[in-house]
Amino acid sequence: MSTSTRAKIFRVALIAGLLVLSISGVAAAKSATKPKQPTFYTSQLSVLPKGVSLSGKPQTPVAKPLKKTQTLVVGIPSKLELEAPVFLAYDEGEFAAEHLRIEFVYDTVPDLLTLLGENKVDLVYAGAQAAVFNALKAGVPIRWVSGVASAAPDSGLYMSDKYGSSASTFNPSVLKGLTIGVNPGGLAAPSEYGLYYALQKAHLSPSDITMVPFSDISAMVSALNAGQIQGATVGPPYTAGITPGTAFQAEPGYPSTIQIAGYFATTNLTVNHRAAGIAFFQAIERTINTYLHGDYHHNPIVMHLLSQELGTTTAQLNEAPPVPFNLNVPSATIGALQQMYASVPDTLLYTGLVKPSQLIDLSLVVDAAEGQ
Amino acid sequence: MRGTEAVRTVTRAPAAVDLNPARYARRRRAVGTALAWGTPVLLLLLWQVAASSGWIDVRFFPAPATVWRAGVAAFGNGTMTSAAEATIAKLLIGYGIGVVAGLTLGLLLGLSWIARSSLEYTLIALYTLPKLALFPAFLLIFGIGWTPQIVLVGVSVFFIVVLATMTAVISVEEGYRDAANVFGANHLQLLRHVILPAAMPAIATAIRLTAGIGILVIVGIEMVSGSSGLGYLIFERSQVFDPATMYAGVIVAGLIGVIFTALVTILLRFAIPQQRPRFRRR
Amino acid sequence: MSDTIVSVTALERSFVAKQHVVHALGPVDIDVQRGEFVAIVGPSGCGKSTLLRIVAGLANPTAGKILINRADPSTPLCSMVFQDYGIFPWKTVLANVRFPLDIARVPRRNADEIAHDWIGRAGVQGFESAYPATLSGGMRQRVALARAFVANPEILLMDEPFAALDAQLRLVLQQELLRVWEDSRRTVLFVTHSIDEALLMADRILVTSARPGRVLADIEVPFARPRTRAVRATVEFGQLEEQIWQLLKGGVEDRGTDNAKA
Repeated sequence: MSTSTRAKIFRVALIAGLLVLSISGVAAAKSATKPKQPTFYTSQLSVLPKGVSLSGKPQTPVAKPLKKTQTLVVGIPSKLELEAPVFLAYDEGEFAAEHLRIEFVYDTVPDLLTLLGENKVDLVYAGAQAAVFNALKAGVPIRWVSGVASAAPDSGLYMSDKYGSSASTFNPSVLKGLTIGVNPGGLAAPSEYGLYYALQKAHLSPSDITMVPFSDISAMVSALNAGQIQGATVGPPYTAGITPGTAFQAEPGYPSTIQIAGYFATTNLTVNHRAAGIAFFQAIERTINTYLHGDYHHNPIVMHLLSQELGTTTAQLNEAPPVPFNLNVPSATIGALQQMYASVPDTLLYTGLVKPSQLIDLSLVVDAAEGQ
Repeated sequence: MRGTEAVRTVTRAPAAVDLNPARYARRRRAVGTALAWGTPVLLLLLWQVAASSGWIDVRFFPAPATVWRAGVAAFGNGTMTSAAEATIAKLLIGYGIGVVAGLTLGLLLGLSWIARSSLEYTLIALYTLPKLALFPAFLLIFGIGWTPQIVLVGVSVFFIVVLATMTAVISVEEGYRDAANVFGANHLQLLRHVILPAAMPAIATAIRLTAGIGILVIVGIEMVSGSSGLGYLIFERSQVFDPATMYAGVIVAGLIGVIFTALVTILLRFAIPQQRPRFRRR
Repeated sequence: MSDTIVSVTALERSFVAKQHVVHALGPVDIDVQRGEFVAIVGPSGCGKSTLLRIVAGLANPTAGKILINRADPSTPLCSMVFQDYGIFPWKTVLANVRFPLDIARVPRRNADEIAHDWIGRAGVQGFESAYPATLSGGMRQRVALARAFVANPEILLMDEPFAALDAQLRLVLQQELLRVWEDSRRTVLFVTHSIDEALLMADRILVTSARPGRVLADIEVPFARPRTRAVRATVEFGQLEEQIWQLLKGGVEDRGTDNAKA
């Protein structure tokens, strides 16, 4: 692997040069005030509990190799740019630097959750679907150990221009009685939270609108362009298909107060194999800080690796903005998602809500960031 | 008495079956019935015990009692009922079309060497195509909803029935045809008195087999496409991590398959005169 | 009695098998009188069945022709009894026997009556609603006989009808056939392997050679009718049997040595 050898040499030189700078950088970050909200293209500073944040500095956190090489099995439902950190970390040898062997398993989310419950898989990348909550209540000790990203700037609820012109001036009460295109699963899917959030703001209920599921998203976009539906929940890269002047983004994919996807593990990782879990996130965070920070779409090495991993071209990747990686999972997420799922019958299969502390466990991410 | 025949005097004497044949036969029948019903019951009990003792992980593979409760609940709130109705409706329509089309074309191919020369190899080639691979084409032509699924079932059934019917018609023994021709039968009489009844047992076998295939196809396609029927219910319940209702759906689908095949088998008996159930003793 | 019903002239039948021509039958010249019981005896494969099939209209000759003089074109021309595959397994005994009448579109009520009568005469009364699968071989051939007679044909063709039955059943059915035939005295062409069966049943025996089938001898059977088993005990029976066997022996043995050489 010439890429990883090249990267190793590059890293050694960088560490030698930046050693002093990174030590003082971490110290400065610890005493800094809360960084400003993540904005487009600039910093991917995650606001984590205990006031810890990702410094955004390359090659941090530093690799702390495990005494003995351990293997972690990571379950992936489908390859997306959102998972760039784990693929890049693998390709650039960041996991190897931690003495971690990573094996990837590709399967559907329910199958991966089953494997997770049987400890055949250590981490699963997934959206926070109802299945996660149901599995937790059924006795699988699932933990949401990290987020993935803030809402893509161009994803969310798009409305026909008849109903407004921008998100800041959009009045969600106009939704009443309209026909909105949604992803299959409708409000049982966390990706639709933007629509639900808009309904909440207008004190409307899901039965006040007509939701039409589309399994073919480009068909949904065409229907929106043609005016057959008055709105749709769209994300990249399909947002590029929306004809300019026909529809506008009325509501982001989800507010910054919640997270909808990320890595899930069980207490088997967070308690029994903690060191490996921390090492995993050290590598992930280092990868984000080094390669996926800022406008990484202009980094040819990264884009080349990504286009290879995802089986696409750099040009296609550039049709969507860079992903604003964000490992945080705010506590408000748990209540908000359960409220949305409860509005769809037969989705939450239990009574009594799950509390944030029962599901969210960001300790691995925090310990990795703090270099513990 | 079995055993080595090395003794000097070999005896042949009545065994239990010979001494009281009627009682022996009755007891055998009773044991057979007990085994036939008892085995599934035993398996169910084993399943329940495995679940209760923790041999199987009930988080992912629930106990029969849990599956039963979930199934009852799903019937109660109508989700299982409407799913079963949708699957049965699609199955009946698709199966009916496939069988009728297969019979008609199969008869034609069996009777007409022109039709056979033109179509036989084309049909065989199409028969070996996995129909599931053609399903996206059906979606394009017929849109979404029930129609492409019904067409898939129909097509899967059609190819088997048409080839079986054609073969059965061709294979009608020449002796039977000769017997009719000697007495001066015309084409229609030959068809009605000889060819159709002679070919019927083989055709009936094919139709009975395709009943099982019809169920497989409809539940299978519902699991990967569309939003109705038992297949969709099974898929959707697995998506939401509800294994109890999912397995209830699987069992309901299996039961429908068993009942449908049994119905088809019984109905087919009436199409074969020598196999019709006789209601009075001669 | 010099009323020729079937006149066979220079009849030949060949067919092509694996690129060479097989000469199965002929040339054959035969005249059959109305009401004659003609037996055709010969080794296997000499075209006896082919001749019957050509008379029945199931096959055509490749040379020569057959002329059939009909007395009454409104009645069916032939009936045939086969060795196997005679009666239909999917019809009851009654429906089987009634079959030729159904083909001739005789009204159901009349057809049933006639069929019942012949079922009685053939000795299978009581089995009208049985299916052939439940009947023994002998019963099935009785049904086949009944069916053949029910149509009242001008010519009866029988292709080794008793060959599949055991020896004792054969004797019984030979008697039955004679009994039924002597009521109506139709023209019969009867193919058989068995020399003594031919001598018992027929007025005239055509001894045929091995392939290609040709008539070796045309023998008048002198015994008076009605025939009983007593004829077997006569000296002439033995002499005729020996004579016919000598004719056939040559053909059978030739074929045997041919096979040995091949």
